[in-house]
Amino acid sequence: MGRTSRTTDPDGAPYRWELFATTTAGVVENELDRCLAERCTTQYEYDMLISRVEARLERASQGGLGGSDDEPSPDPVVSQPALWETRWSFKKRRELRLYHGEPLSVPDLLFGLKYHWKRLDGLSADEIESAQNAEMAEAATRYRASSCYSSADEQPHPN
Amino acid sequence: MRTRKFVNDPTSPSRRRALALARVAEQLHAKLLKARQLQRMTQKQVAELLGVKQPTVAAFERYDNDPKMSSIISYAHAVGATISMSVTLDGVEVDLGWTPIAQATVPFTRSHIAESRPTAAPHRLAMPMAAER
Repeated sequence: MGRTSRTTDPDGAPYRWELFATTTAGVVENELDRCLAERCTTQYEYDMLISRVEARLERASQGGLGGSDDEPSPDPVVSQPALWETRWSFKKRRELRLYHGEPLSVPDLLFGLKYHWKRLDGLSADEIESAQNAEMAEAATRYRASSCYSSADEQPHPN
Repeated sequence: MRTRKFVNDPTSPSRRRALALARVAEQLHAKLLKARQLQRMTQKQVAELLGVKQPTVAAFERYDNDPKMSSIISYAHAVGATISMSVTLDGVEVDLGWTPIAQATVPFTRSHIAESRPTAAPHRLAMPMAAER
């Protein structure tokens, strides 16, 4: 069993979101904009989808993504370093994903690393998994390049 | 430099309205889950009331579920919750010009809801339902 995500732990809330950025660009913020621009057809649709993203991030920051005491909190989708996934399912089979880290050295931080659309159409299960793994690898690379990251975040079972 | 296809303006009326609506959806879902927990009901108990399997209830409760209205009200009913709603235009409540009869005459209190679980006698509305007339 891996670490429990802060997004499912209301006892430690509120948490704060920060998004991966370089000194010159809001990388993850721009990534979300690009994702939505790619799949939205109207300004109203864009406004609705980006608002649904924001509202879910707010819920996550309150530790509200677990909800059920019948089931254990989901394990990290990547264990070294530990990364978790937040999901959105929109109409027209649009599945948005955000990978984030929870640095052990910053107990209230949810660090957004990578947005992407889960690719579904025209791909085999293996190809879908391969594409998703590539996105996770990019998220891990960004995490390791960040100042909030420490080698302790490589440990899958720090508890 | 990339030209934006859409305007990303959190202060626009459309965006503020969309965020308010999205928050309603997240909170409604989270509150229904909380209601089940406050009632000390398990997913299995809810499933039995709804006539479905426990994994169906678990799927409903996943935060990334996008449930239909019929699923929402069925789940609410099973956990003994009611949902109130308000539709406004520019801050003014949309008025249908009519009110459901039961809403006007029967207050749904917490104790009342507990009594109306399937093990208890069915609640009688002050005004008989059409089938009882």
